[in-house]
Amino acid sequence: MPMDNAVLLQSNDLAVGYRQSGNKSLVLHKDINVQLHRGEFACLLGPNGAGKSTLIKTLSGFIPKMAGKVSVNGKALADYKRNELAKVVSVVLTERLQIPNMTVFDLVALGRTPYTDFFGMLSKHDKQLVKQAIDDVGLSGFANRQLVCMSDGERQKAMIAKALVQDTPLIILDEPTAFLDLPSKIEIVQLLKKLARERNRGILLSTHDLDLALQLADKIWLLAQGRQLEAGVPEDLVLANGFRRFFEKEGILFDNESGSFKVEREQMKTIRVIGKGVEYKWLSHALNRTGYQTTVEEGNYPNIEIDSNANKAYILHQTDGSRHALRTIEDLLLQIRQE
Amino acid sequence: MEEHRVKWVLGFGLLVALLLLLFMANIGFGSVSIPFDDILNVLLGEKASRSAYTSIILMSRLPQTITAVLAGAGLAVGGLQMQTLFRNPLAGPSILGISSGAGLGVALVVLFAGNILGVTISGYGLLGHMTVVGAAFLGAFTILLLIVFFAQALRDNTILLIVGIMIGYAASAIIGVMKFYSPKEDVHAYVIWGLGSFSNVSWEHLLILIPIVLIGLVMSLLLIKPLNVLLLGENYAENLGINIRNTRLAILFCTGILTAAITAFCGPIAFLGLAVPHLTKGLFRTSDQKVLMPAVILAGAVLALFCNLIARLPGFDGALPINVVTGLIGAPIVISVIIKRRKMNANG
Repeated sequence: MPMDNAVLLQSNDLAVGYRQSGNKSLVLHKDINVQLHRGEFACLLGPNGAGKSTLIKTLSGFIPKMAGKVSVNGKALADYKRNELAKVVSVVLTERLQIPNMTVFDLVALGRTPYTDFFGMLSKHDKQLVKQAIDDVGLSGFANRQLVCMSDGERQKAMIAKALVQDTPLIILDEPTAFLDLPSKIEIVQLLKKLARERNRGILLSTHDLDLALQLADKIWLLAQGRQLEAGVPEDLVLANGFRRFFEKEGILFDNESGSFKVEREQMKTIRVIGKGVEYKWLSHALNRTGYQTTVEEGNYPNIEIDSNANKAYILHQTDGSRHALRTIEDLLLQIRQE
Repeated sequence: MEEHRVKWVLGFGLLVALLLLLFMANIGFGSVSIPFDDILNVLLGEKASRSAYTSIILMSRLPQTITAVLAGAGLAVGGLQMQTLFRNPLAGPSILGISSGAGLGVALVVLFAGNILGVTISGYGLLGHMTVVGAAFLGAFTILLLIVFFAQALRDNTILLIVGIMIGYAASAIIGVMKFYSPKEDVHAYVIWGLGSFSNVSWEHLLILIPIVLIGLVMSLLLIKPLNVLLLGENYAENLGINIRNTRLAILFCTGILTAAITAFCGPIAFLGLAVPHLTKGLFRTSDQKVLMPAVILAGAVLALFCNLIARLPGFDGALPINVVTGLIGAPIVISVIIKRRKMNANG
């Protein structure tokens, strides 16, 4: 498929918020300047209450903007007629849909609504698109399955198929993975990235899953209360301390090196760990978690030697010369604490 | 897909057969038994073996049967629309207080007029009956306008639903006060109206009822596409290009005029509107309103005819009010649906 790198979604000095009773309005964020290109998968990250949902609703045309400009394909969002907009932006939302008697096929077919006739009859072409989309999201063989008999993850995949047959260049998803288990989350985000690339769609996903966003997003948009939205390639944002600043909270630190959060703790004692491989990694993890600093340097601290032979053991040499061989990390931690 | 098609065709075939069978049974059975040949002859406009047969069929049983068909179909459509719009399996056509409004209108005429003006409406025959019908329609329509007004102001469907239920309570409360201060005979007359009946509708009344119900049914068919999309909820529907506000008004208006007209002529018929959509969904196992809407029209007519037939079984001789029968059939259906739903949620 040709990669057409045109700007799909663009905002200029956009302000989002809510109209309140009377003539008042509550502006949550202003001066938002972002772009989303065709074929690009962007993740909108931010803590709860940051206004992610409001921004998403504004960009999908659910609520009016407060100021500035939003355009899709070069045309202002507000200038689209209702039925035109349905062919430009499709959405997938957080809500769990429990619709008795509705099958996957029925659900996905509703995505063709902007194209079908007065009674919503499906043409042969429509049916073909629906079947194709069901296959594309990995639900082949599920077409006649009832929605109520499916897992939450499968149901959200069906909603993504609905968005696909709606055949819009822009797909916006508002925390669709919020209530899913980790494997389903990974599957969905991977699927979205693939669809963005292969189908040349612009996909914007709001999510809490920092790890996944860092690994898979082409662009990340960071949004926090009282801050300017920052957008960019994940790595640039990490290097510019973007995540640190956005997720600042007492006792929690974004570790730029590992790209994950660390809980700050007073380090009590240093322990030297000798070994390698997967045992080494998890032993260090356990020691860090329980408040020890680990090192490979020699010095006047306890040593732990990992014996990776047939009789796997952790051998603890205390500074006083005593030696203990322990079978599990649990026993080892207990032993260290006793000293 | 094809498997479904076969099931749907069989389902429609069954409903049409039942409709014809029960239609004939409603005309044939009663306190006077009429031979089948005579029924056919009268329906085809020819002479029956006894002139009494002709008058029983044409003046009593035929209008009653047609009324049952119209009321069943109309209320069932209203029920389906409300259940779809509010995404609530327990919604029915009376959920918005429209039938309470009709009750209020009737109460005003029967109780208030009797109490304050010293007029007993029931003593006025046809004219009195028309007054009751008019009052019921006026009451129902007033509540409908109120609901439409709220619908324009409120975006949230759940809040609209609660407002509708509250309006119904308020109307019932006013009726309660009027009952409390009214003489026994008037209260009895009101209670009789409240039990519902298909037998008080004459050909003159049908001239009004038929067009209104037909308008409602045609409108419901035109609303099939937006109703289907509304199954996904308002946000998805809006994103798919549906004009939520106008669609909601059209649905409320459609259910509203059906309920108002049917309740005005037949009294508040309980449970039909709630139970028929569930029965139909159970039979057809689909959420597609393209299938459900026509199916519900047929099934509503079938169930109303069935209830009317039971109410007239030999031994009851019309003594059994229609609401007693619909309640006794409707309640078990609603209970089984709730239990089934619970099970489904527990398994899911």
